[in-house]
Amino acid sequence: MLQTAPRRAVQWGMQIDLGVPDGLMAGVTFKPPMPVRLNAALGYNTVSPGLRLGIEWMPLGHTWLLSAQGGHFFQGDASHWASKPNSADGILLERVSYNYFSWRAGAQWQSGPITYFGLLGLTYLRAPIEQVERLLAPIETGNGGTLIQVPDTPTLSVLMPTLQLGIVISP
Amino acid sequence: MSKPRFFQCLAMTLASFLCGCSAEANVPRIVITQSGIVVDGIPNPNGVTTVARARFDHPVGFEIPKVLETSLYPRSAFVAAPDGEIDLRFVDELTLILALRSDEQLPPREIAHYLRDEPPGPDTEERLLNVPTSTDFNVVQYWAAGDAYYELVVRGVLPESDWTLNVVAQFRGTLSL
Repeated sequence: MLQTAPRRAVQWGMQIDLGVPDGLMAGVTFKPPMPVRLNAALGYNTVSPGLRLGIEWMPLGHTWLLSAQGGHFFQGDASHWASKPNSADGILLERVSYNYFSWRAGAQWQSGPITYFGLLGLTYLRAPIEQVERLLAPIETGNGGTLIQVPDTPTLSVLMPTLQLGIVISP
Repeated sequence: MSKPRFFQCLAMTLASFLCGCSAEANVPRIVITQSGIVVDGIPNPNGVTTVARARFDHPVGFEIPKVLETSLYPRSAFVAAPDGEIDLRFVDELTLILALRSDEQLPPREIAHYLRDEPPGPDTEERLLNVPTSTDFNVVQYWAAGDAYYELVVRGVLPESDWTLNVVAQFRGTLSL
């Protein structure tokens, strides 16, 4: 009688992916005995390190999946993305950090221990805009008595398309 | 979840990728404080109503981020007597105007206007006046011009010797893509 290997109840793996606004992420995945896969990862977006938690849902088999992920990137200097070093854009990009939540859908294919996946969707991102005061009053006026203050840091809310490509390696 | 419902959800999520990008930031409060504005005294032996004007410059160098569209509107304003030096009960009307020194295409605009509607009480000192603001115009085009200034126009039975005021104006708005 032919015997198949018993299916493991839970499965650990390693995930590497590239996406927007995730940057390059590497972490671990955990697949409990239900059609979901959890992941936790650390990454880098060319400006600063970040971290992310996520869940993928595959209720109709292995191929199609829905994904929800939330992450945070720590403050970093992105002024090199600005058109000119000391421009207004550059000043705003000197201290960039953000939180984000992504909702994506896509497909995956397994080849041996490696699962390849591609996801598209939407990201909602919130980023504090630091240093607005420097834009408003960067030069002394000479009349001395003028004070410009921005007591509450503005927060930029962005809704944008997102994509993610990656692999999961399951031993 | 049924198979059709799941694929409907999947398709909608994939289609959301085609949506455009939107970005907006609320700027809750920008506070501009100008201290020690000197208003020239006006000889007034008969104690009649007179009008005085004083100017101060907006700080130069304001730069708008190219990637964002900036809109800022007056939110509130008040004038105060520095260190409680004077009693502002003599002010009947006060107007704060934003203007440019050079650009004639942008006319002077009233930011805030105060008009006393009741005579001041005999025993109550007034060290601070709340000045209602006009909220319908974007000040950014004035600030960005580089030569904006504020003019304070005060009407009342004004002091005969020079006196000083502090002005605080608050603005709010949005940065959007």
